[in-house]
Amino acid sequence: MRIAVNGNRSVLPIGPFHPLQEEPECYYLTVEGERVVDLDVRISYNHRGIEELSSRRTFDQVPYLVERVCGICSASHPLAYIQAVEAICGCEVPERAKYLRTVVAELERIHSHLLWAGLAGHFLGYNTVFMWAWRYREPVMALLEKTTGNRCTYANAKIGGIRRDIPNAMFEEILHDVESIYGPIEMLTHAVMDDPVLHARLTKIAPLSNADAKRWCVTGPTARGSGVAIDARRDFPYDAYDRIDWKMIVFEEGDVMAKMKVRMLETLEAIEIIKRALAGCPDGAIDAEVEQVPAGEAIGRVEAPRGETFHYVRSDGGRGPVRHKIRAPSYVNVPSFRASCIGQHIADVTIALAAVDPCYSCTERMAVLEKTPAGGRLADAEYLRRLSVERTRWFEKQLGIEPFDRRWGPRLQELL
Amino acid sequence: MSWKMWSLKRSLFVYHVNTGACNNCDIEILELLTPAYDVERFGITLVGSPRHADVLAVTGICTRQAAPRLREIYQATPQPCVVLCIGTCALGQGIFADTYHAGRCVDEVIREVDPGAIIAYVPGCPPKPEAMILGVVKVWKKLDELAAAAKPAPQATPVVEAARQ
Amino acid sequence: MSMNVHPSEPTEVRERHGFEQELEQPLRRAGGIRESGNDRQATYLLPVDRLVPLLRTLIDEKQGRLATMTGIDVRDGTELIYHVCFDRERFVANLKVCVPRATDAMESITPWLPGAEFIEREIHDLLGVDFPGHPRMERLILSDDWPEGVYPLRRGFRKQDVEIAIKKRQV
Repeated sequence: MRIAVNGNRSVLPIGPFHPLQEEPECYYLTVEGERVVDLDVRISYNHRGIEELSSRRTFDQVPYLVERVCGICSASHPLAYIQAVEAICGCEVPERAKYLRTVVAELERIHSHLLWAGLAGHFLGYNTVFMWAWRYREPVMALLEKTTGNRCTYANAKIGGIRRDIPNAMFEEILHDVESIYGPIEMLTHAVMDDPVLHARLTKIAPLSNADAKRWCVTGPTARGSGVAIDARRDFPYDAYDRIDWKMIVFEEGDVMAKMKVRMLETLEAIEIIKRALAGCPDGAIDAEVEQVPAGEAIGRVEAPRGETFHYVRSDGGRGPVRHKIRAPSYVNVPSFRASCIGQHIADVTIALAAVDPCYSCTERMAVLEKTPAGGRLADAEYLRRLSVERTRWFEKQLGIEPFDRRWGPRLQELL
Repeated sequence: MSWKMWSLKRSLFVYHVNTGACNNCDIEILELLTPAYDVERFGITLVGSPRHADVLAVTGICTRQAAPRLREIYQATPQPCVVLCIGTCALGQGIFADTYHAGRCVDEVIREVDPGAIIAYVPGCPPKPEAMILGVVKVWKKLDELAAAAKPAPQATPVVEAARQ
Repeated sequence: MSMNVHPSEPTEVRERHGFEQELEQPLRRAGGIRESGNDRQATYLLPVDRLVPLLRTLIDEKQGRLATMTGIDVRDGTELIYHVCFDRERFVANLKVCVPRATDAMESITPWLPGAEFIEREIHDLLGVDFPGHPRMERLILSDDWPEGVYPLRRGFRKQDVEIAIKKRQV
């Protein structure tokens, strides 16, 4: 795609291979002066043809494949596929397996939201938030490794149950570890939610109205931040979610601040869900031992950290799926940028794009280094991130408040 | 030999390239910067451009769309550099090996551009952060060896020669 | 800033069979036949020309949400399944049509439902179905050098077809 300069309008491609973004992105912004007037996205760099690969695998091999659709939503993709196949089979998953699947899914939600919080902090110039959030991801990753065998790509769920039990003897350790991070995460949540600079900086930025959220079919925190109260855990109950009391967090404003609050509070709620799931987890079998998948078709829906993961599976009674459709949450969330980012200042674009928490590999992103006709680089994500950080500094000066890192840095050092 | 060789003992600049990956390896690379592993205290830094890089940390299977970009990036990286293939996908495309949207894998694409490229491999899906650090340390040692081998013997300048006579 | 904290049980949970009965009337009017399903999801087969008006009814009047669309190459054409979620009612309706091979085209719903834009573009890329009326039908998923007319999710696709088609183009 070429950069066009037409009167006042210019097209900025954004996204170098930025060191602090796990995947580069490839958005093309058309800007007029300093305002975004259009947005387009080029995706295909991460396309690995997973649906086609799935049709050449057996039913049992597919979870290993689809947990690698995205490393951060690694529990949700196999779960959604497995749910679809279990619906075709009509089998009943043992209770213990349901509770333990819930525990792993919520651990993933915590580490995913903290990852997002850290990146958001980096984009805003709050490096303390980055270090804080990612420091407290570590115990969660360690727990995932202890319970499933890997820090990511857990391969814990299978058709009819789970592959490996989490023994009751381990519950105390899991409880202790999640309770130990509750305090620091709660502190981080309040530090961020009560921060006057962030309030000034993020309120009314990139708002997605309730009506637009519905027209763009968004899901997850992107929807719940705009007053659309949907959550697959409630609307299509699976595993132990209809056996445990839990709260869905919804804000009406639809701006970046609302989405941030949804994610931070959901992290704390996820810890509560884990505690309740472990308390209520019964003994018993972990596997319904499904031998054969009959002909049929069905869908599975799981609430991944980013929103609803939706899978469709068709079987003809053979060894593997005839057709397997995978729809990651970011696939419907990302296009809503056209509704929320148009009219925004380019200094706010980085955080506005991040607010949707696009899981890049779910939706296949990569950056392109573009040169202008004159030979220099017109813009890249690092440039836009610097604009974003400068804007934060401007708010700090306006409000006469010390930078967040200086206020909270020593406190974090104490915690560490 | 570039001046870059002489300064290697003090710091190592790493540029991260994703050629079509699931994010796992990429996130574990970022993990290295956080307090848990904190590789910056060893002088390992992630940089924002291949032009400043000593090491290209490459993840992913190298999809059709990514292959030309990977070649461009390699060519933009000053020599000597080491390509560090991180994760099973970067080693040999792993579970995605027979996908329609990928051609040759990372090391083959690099060797098309530079048959003599130095390529290191860190296997795993994803590799543990400790394994990545070990990979980087081995690469660093290799670069130091190359620097030592390339160091010219001290030579008198013409002015000094003239003064001696 | 107003926050709602919703309990996990919605205050109105309609009796599941009740809601599917509610859908029966518009489905029957559109000539739909229930093929399979359970109390939470069901698949209906519809005539291809009756789908879009029904979809509008379900989304605009019944607050349905389009989750995605699946395309499947079958012998006579391409099956398109529109997956519509009724979140409050805890039900998913999968509306299936068969687009004949002769036309390989289905009216685009993107003009009135922007969220369908990427979904239709993906099906176009991978299965070759056209969506007349789509405002931005450009390549989305496949690489810049991917040859026209080669659709990876079509039956009989082979990986070598890609290079063969590229070579043919160059000749």
